[in-house]
Amino acid sequence: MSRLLRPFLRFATGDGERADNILGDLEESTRTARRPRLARARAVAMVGGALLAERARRATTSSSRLPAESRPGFVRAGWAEFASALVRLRRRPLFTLGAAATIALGIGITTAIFSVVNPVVLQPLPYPDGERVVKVWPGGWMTKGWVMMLQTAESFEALSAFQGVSGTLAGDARPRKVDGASVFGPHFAVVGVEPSVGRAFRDEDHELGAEATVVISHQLWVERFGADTAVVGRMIDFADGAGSRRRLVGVMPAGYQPLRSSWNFWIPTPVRPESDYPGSQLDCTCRQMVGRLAPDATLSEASTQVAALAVEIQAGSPDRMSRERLESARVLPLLDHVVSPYRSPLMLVFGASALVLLIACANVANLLLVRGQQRRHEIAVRLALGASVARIRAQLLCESLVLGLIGAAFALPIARVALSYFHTALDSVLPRASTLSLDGPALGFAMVAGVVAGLVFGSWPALRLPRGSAQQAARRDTGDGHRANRLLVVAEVALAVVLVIGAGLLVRSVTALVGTDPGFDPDGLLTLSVSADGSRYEDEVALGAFHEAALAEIAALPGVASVGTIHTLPFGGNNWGWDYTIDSEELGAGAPMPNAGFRMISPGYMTTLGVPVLAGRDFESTDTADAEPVALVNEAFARRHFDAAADALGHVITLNTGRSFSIVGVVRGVRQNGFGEDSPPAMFRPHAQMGSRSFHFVVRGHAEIAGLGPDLSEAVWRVDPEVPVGLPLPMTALMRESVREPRLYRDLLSAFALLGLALAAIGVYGVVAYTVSLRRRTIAIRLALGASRTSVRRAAVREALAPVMAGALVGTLASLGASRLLSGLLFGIQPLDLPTFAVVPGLIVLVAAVAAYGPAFTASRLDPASTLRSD
Amino acid sequence: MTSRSLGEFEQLVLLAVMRLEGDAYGTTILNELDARTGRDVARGAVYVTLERLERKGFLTSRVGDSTPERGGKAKRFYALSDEGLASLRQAGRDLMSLWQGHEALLEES
Repeated sequence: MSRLLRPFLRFATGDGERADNILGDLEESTRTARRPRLARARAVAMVGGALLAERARRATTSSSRLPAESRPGFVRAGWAEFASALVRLRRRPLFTLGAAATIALGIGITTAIFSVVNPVVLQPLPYPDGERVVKVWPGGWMTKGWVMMLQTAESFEALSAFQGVSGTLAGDARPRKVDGASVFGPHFAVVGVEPSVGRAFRDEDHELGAEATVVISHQLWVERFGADTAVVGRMIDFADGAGSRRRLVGVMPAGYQPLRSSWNFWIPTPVRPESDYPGSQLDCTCRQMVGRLAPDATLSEASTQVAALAVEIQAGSPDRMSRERLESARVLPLLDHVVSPYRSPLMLVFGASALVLLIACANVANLLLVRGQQRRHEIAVRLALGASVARIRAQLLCESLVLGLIGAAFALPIARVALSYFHTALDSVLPRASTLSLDGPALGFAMVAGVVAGLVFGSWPALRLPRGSAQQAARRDTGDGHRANRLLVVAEVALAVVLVIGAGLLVRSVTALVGTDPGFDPDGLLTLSVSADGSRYEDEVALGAFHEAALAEIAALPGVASVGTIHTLPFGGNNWGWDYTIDSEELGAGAPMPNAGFRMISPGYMTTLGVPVLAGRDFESTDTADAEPVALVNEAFARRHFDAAADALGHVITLNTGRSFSIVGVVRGVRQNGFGEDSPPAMFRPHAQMGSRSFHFVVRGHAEIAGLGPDLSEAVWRVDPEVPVGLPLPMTALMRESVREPRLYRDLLSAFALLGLALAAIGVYGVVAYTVSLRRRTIAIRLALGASRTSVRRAAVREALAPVMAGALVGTLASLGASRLLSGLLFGIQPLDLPTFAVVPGLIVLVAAVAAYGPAFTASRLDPASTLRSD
Repeated sequence: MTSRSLGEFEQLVLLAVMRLEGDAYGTTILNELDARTGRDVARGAVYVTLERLERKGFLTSRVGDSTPERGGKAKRFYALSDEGLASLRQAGRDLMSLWQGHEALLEES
């Protein structure tokens, strides 16, 4: 706010030095106030307003005295008109405040949403020539060889593969788990940003046996090493799957935005000296690819080249790439890839906020219409004295524009409050939302919205001025003005119906979503993530021993009913999949290799989750590394290949790497990917036979699990105090987090719907009150002639409900089309959901009836005698 | 109204500037008016009147020193011009001439 005081005062005085003098006086005199900043702002508003009004008075007085040919040009005349509109509005503070507050509410909310939409959806990538950075062949396991083949495509200036990884930064300070990326190829050349200290990776950093290196973020460099340049080039304690120390070779610049906001380090993709994949000693695992288009290459040329190279790759390794993956080979702008899941929902929310603004505009238009009627004599006098209708219309329109701009100014604090809510709600839900602020574009949007709103709500009252005579202007209003008010009510109610139906659909959708059976019992489950990184756990025997010991420690805790482990939690957002065959069946040439989810679990995991075994058995402690390789499969997997679940038992799964294991059990399916997706086909391997350094404990408690968290961490640290663990998280919290995004859209649209409904109800109330005030005499006569007060009330409410019901009908019809826009956000219900469409219009008519009842009641309490006497 | 005539509030402001003798800037003028008249004077009215009086030539102003209490912003000191003093004197004489013979009313509360 302080940034606005000085410019406002400068504008009011027209003299920067005088403005500073006055501001200094005000700072001096408000220093000792109880709330100095607020006192100063109020003082500036009062003084600035007075000075502005004085300037306006001088401007109108001086220009009106001049002969027509000497009058100032368009700009000065416009300024004089603006200033005199300010004076006229200042004379009616209640009306001005009410109208400005209404508009401010609408503009504030719309500006806040714009402040989200702009950086998340509209802004380009924060890289040089960001539009040339592309996503290549979306998602999936790649090998180094394949990446090198794709790098030969002439359409790319640079192409790099990467995979998200985590590591542990140790040293003198407490060990800290950090997220980053393992990159293959010229990653920094792709994004166009090089380290500001040190260097990026060279080709030799990726070679087998090369020294382990790392590049870190500026933030990590400052927090961990105090921005010490001497640390660059030294070995640091950094543990990941490849070892425990790395040479720090570079630091990224401050303000650099990585492809994932959580990344704080980059390492060259490790090349495995021995591999799970026979015959692929030089291969490595990468999962995502990004590239920078060559200066003269187009997106379609790059896509064509990638598709052609993909065919070659698949032909060379048909057992390692399915047809589905082959067909997904293409190139798309990285920005589209990042924002496309959020573009439609956010634009819908933005549209909903614009509807609220339109309802607010309708309310203010009603206010202006009423005020116009109250000013009809004034306007008649001005017409009689020679003012043109066009001039008066221009003045009315100018007043509306000034009101709109005042509303826009008042909207900024509202937008700031709304934005602070969004910071909390949107954190980790939307990409590129880490710095939401009321920046220049947002302020500009607010001003433009103020101007547009002013034109929208001001144009009709201005155009309604009668052409021609003063007598017409002075005529008492009868049906014409009243009709305009009623039409505005129809519009407001229609918009409110659209908003409330949209919100209702989302409410029912989220309710259906979270009511879906996840396939297991989440209540009473606590999870704990563990990363057994570092050189001590490179050996699978050591890893297995740690895993078993930690399981035993946790199982021995009082309060623990059962415990198991899994390397990717349900609802955790992470997934592994693997191509496979059943019983080594020969696939036809080019035939797709099936793919299924792949999870590594411990015995006891299924029991802990409450997932029943449908056929065969669960994993047991005897399924050790030396025992026969075994697997479990879920129902969906069994149904894919067999007629009945039990038919799957004894068959052999062979991965595309050549590893085989026999199916010993079939379990019920679990919604691994969240409420919205059915349980996909999945296979499970015992951790003892195929372990993962990162995994999660899943614990079921006897009773209350809240207090178990610290005990779980302590149990793990009794086995190894240097293993980093995450925060204990109830499974229900994880599941709530998975629906955070749909809940957010539901909450936003519901808030807008409530606001729109409230504004529409206020509009109905206002129109009914105005109508009653116009008809006092008629009502008094009716009462005097014996009409009952009840009949007067009913008549008033009935008359008010006519435009409301028309608006409800129009809104319902509009919603039939508009609700289809929500189809991408709905789960379990259709856009034309009958209960929602049946209930909402009736609800709105009811709300409007309640709003109309107040003034109707007042009308029925008129005293006929005194009313007729006073008129 | 002639260029030498003063409104009531303009007279009060000029008198306050005169009484402050070189220390007359926005805050002190406002405080002097508050203390002497007991009125709740609007700040905006004071600044508008100061600007108007300076435009009419009844006041002159100079920029003074800045202090930390003022956020480093300078004070603008006002002083009566010769024409301002003349107008004030005339207004005072006009007032006293009209009060002549009714001075006792001034003593009544």
